[in-house]
Amino acid sequence: MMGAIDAIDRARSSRAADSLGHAGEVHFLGTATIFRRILIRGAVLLLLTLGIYRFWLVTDIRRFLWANTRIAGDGLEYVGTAGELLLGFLMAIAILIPLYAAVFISALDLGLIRRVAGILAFALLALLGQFAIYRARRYRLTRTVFRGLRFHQTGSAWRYAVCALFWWVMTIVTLGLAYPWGQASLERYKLSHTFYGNLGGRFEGSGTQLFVRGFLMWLLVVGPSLIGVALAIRAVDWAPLAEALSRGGDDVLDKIEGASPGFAAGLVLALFAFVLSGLFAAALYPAFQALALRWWTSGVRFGEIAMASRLPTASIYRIYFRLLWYSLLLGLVVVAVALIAWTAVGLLDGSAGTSKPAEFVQTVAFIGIFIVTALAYSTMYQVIVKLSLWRLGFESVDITGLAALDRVKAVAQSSTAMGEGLADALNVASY
Amino acid sequence: MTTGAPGIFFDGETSIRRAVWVEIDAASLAIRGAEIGEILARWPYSQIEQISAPEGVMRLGRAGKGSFARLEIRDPAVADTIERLGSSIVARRAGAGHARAVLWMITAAILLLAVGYFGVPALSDRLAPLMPNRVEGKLGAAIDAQVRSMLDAGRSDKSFDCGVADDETPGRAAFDKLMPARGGSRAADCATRHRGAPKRGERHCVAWRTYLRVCRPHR
Repeated sequence: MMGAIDAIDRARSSRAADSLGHAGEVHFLGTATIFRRILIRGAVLLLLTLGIYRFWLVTDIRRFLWANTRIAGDGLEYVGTAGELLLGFLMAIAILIPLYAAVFISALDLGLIRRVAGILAFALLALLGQFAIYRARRYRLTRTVFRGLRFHQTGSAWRYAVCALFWWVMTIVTLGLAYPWGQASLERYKLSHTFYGNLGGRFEGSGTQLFVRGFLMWLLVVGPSLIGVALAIRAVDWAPLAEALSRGGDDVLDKIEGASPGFAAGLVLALFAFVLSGLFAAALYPAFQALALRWWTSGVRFGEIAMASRLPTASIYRIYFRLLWYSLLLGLVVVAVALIAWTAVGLLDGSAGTSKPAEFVQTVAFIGIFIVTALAYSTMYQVIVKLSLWRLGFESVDITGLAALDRVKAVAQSSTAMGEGLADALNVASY
Repeated sequence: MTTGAPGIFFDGETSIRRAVWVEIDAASLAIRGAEIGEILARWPYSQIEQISAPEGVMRLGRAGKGSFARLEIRDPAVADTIERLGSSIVARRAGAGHARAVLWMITAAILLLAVGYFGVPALSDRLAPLMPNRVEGKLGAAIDAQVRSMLDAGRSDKSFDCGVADDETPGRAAFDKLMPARGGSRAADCATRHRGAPKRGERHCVAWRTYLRVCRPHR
């Protein structure tokens, strides 16, 4: 079933190989076949090593993606190693274990500390997560080499973490309206502290621009929920409801219904509105992703080097439809395998899985099917979505001002993988 | 024997892309500027590593950290020659040199499983008697508070705790009697200490079972 994709893939890569040395363009020369081989082998080894192989797998994936990306005829190069990532992860664990222990012990306290411990821990972990994102970015940049020079990143990760947390709170409070300005501000911070050799980067995209382009989508996603909640609030008669609630006792819903006849209708209305919002969000997500990627790419500058993106929205939809289609196929396969396994256990046992050994076999089979399915889905997602997004994202970029590339000098800079490890442990890592 | 081939060279100090002439001999590669012919670098094969590159491109660098000088050869025949002569060139490509690491990882995974299956139970058996009663009581109280906040909605007029209603006290007394006595039943003590005023609540025995699990006397 992957045959058709391979054919397209080969055609595309041979086309790209023809233009190996053209300046001013970005090409991705990797094929899905090789990427899939790396991922499938990685999935098997992840299974055998209880996940320890992940550092090696991530390194292999990055080497493949970087090496096959050619900007103006020259390839990127990833020089990070799996050992660094493993060390970074262990360092992160050494930081997180005492932290979790402290949270656990403070939760044992009966007084005020217990009540605030949860909130405090959440805020601290959110801050650490943003810190890790910034430091992980620094690690990846310092391990990226282009034309014999590496990238690097300066700036304070703590300052970034505080700013990022502030903008996330603002985004939540304003139901997403602050998101464009938050992103613009954070990207400005990130890129103004990003360097290629001695060539400094900057971000010229504006939050207002993103806001204007995405406002209609925001309205479609958040609008139904807002209207639904507003209508529901109007439909309910609040004074008797409050009284019914304060009386307490059993059958609260009955009492509410008795006190305010519009309540059930209001609840249904609000629920319907939320479902509508969710549907719009799912349907518009690829369009938003394309929009945000175009906006971000077109805002990146390094000295005189400027980028512009012409990423077509339809191609992002195509990627997600393909994912949907293959997910369905995977689901069918999993159901079929589970049915066969269930029947086999029943036949072997005779008593249809009520005895102890049969129960054990069933549990092991269930866990096995679950893990294999999760790994298969993740592999599928990486090949269909991540690889395609990487390819599309780069190949839709036009770069101008490349003459500046002939004057860049090296700057000594390095970084540990601690941030990457922290990001990994807190589950905020990417690529 | 010396042969030559064109290549692309980045010196690692600047981003300038140089067209070079690569001289290939038995022990090393000499990189000369294509126009004047000056020697830019000489790399012995023992210090060269091959770096991941797209198909049809051979990318070489100096082994060891900190040097990002790169040489690219785009002629497959020349790449073959270099690979034949420089058999000591280490490949740093996806999946290269993983076999030993993978064996170590599998060993580590088996050890982790063994620690989880044998080590942790053995350790907890030895640690549990060392835990002071005070700490254990605190743990029980914290869990008790959590269980209550989750289950005791306070909407029913029946008690949340078992054994406090009038028709339940004889049963409770009999139960307390059954518990091994050591200055009175510890389970009952524990229960009494943390129960407080009877609350309105459904008759769930969850809280009681939590007491038994957490506050029961040691074996």
